Parts: sequence; C-alpha cells; structure tokens
Amino acid sequence: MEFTAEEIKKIISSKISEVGTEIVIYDEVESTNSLAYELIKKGYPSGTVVIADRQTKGKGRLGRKWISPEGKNLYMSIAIKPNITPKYATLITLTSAVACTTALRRYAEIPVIIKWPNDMLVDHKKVGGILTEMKIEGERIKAVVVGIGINVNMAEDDIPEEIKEIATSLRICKGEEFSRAMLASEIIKEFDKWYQLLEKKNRKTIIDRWMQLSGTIGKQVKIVLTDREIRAVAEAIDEEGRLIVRLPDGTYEKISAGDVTLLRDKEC
Amino acid sequence: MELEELKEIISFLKDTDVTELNIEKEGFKIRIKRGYIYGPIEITKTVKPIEEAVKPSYEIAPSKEEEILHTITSPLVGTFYRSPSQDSAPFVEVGSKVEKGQVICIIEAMKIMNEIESDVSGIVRKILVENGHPVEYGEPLFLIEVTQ
Repeated sequence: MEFTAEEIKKIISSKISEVGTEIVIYDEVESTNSLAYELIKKGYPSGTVVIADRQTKGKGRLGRKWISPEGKNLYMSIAIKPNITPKYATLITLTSAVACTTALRRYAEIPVIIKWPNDMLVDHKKVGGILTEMKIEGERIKAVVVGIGINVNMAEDDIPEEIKEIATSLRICKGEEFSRAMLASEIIKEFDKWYQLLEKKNRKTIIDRWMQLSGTIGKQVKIVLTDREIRAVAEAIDEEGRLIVRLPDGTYEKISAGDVTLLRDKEC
Repeated sequence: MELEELKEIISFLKDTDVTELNIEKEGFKIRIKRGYIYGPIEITKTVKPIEEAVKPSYEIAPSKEEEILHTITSPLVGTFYRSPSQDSAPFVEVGSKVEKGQVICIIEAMKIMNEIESDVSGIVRKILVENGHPVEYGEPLFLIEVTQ
C-alpha cells in the first residue's frame, strides 16, 4: 500500500465533515506541527492534515525531541480552528487522546491505554504521543495544531538506547508490520468524529470515553512539577480535564501540567 | 467625605473594639487609629488627609510609569515558561525589543503549549512571573513600554 495522500483519502472513503478534507504528505519536514500552522495561516481549511515521512526537528514537550526516523512511523499534525473558548481548549488534549487510542485499539488490536493527559502506552512503554500547540488572540483561539507521533514499524534496534526502557512500537508489541496509510486514515476518521462532539460541547461523552480508555485513574502516580515532585493517587479528571489527585495526607490537588509517571506496584 | 460623615464614623468606632481603620476613596485617604492608653480615640494624620482631599491625591493615582507601560496578561490558567525549552534562551529579557505578534512566552495547560504573542511593539520593562510558575487567568505577565 502506498503512503500517499490519495491512498489515505481513498481508505477514509466514508464521509468526514472537517478533519482530513485536506491532506498533504511530505518526504521530509522539520516539524509537521510548524508546517501545519504555516498552512492554516496561509488559508488552508480547518481540519488540514500534514503528514511527513521523516522529521528533522520532531518536537516533544518543552523542546524535547521526538525521534522521527524515515519511513517507519507516523508523524502527523492536524490544524484546526475550534469554535470554543480558551477555557475548554484543554479538552482538545483529551479529545485527541481518545481519537488516537480508539483508532490504535481497533486497527492494531493492542490494549493501548491513555496516561494522563494524552500519552499512549502499552505495558508502561510509550507507543504514541501528542503535542498540541495553540495560538490565542485575546479571548479567541486563532489556531490549534495537534501533533501526533505513533511508533509504528520501528524495530528494537531502531529505538535509541536512552529511551529503550520507555518506548515501544506497534511492531514490537505485535510482531508484525502495519500500514501507516491505514493507521493514518483510522486516526483521521476518529479525530473527525470526536472533534465534532467537542465542537457541539458534548464534553461529558469525551470525558467518559477518556475515563474508559485511561490507565491512570485509581493508580499510584508520581508527578514531576517544575518546583517539586509529588506521589499521589489519581482519582478523577474534572470538566477541564485536569487530573485530581489524592495526596498521602488526604488532601486533593488539581494538576494541569507536569510529567506523570504511573508507578508499578513495586514502586509504590 | 463630609465632616459629618467622619464624625459619624468616629462615634461609631467608640462602641467597637476596632483599633485602626483605613478608608481609601477616590481622591483621598483617611487613617484612624485608636489607642486605649492615650485616650479613647486618637486620630493620626486625619486632619491633613482631609485637607488634601480637596485636591487630587497623587499617592493613590497610578504612577506615571504604570500609566505609560502596557500590561500583557495571561489569557488562561497554566504554567508560565520564558523559553521554548529547558536549555534554550528566553524569548525575551528585560530591555528586549519586541514587535507586535512576536512570541514572548509559553503558557502550558494540559499539555497544550500556548505561545503568547505581544499585542504591541515596544521594549520589555518588567517580567512579572518567574519561569515555571503557575499563572492565573488575567494575571499580569509583562510590562511593555510601547514605541510608535
């Protein structure tokens, strides 16, 4: 199967309302997020999808790199202009995680779970990540770019030594190769569906689905914040998607940023 | 404030345990202090502020500096970052020139990195929040001296 925009559009076939109406694929880009933002600024429609075969400056949170070798994985960004207030923009994070995880479970048949807020894990290792960038102008969201990275066909040897303990791929999990075009079209279809629910303010459906797919709630977590580190039990998420945790002294705290690690039983 | 009003306040205070009262209203400021040792009511600096009340008080008016400087506030709740990554240089420093539309900080909320742009051109005069600190909606982040 070819990895082209035409092929992906053909596979999608079903009616999509916004996401994926425009798909562009490049051999190499610095970052699909940066390019997607440029395109939407130039007048491309909301829902434009940018895919690259290779990224030279793949971005992670806070300037961390996203390992992006050629031809192995899916590097995809979706640029949208949501009609929601910045307050609920945080739900875009949950929406993206729900869409990607649902697509991964269906297509690869792997028990992927969401680690708050939007990492995709299989057996404590990251198979996919999402980095969202937003531009706000006053009280209005100018544009949001959701960057999705899925480790598809990387073999053990393709994963750098320093992240071997924390990263995996669909191929490693399942022992077979997957079609990136098929996976991209599954994610686009799911994203379109869940994004329309967000636009219709159907927040509860998104949060409920996120809770079903989450591997965080009820677990012991370690959270590294910029100024301190806490260990707590993840209890729930609120309507803006913040993680509500119970600290050892019985008090509760709402978390909206920071690195969350799920603790294995022996680490608790 | 009329003298009658002031008298009323003072007589009201007589019957309470209040030992100090500060009133600030448009244009003037009154401070009443009561001490039990030196008599039932001691009014300090009361007379002078009343006199001053007739002319505008510069003390509570915004300083010249704040009037000129443009404040950039946070459009959302999140964590404030001055640089795009932990080991890179800040977007701006005090004294930096900024153009309208230039990214001056990032506010992260729920793994969404929000690039905040300056809505004016000018010079950064004050950075009001430390890197990595949480910010509230509407919290002032930068003071910018606007240039034409």
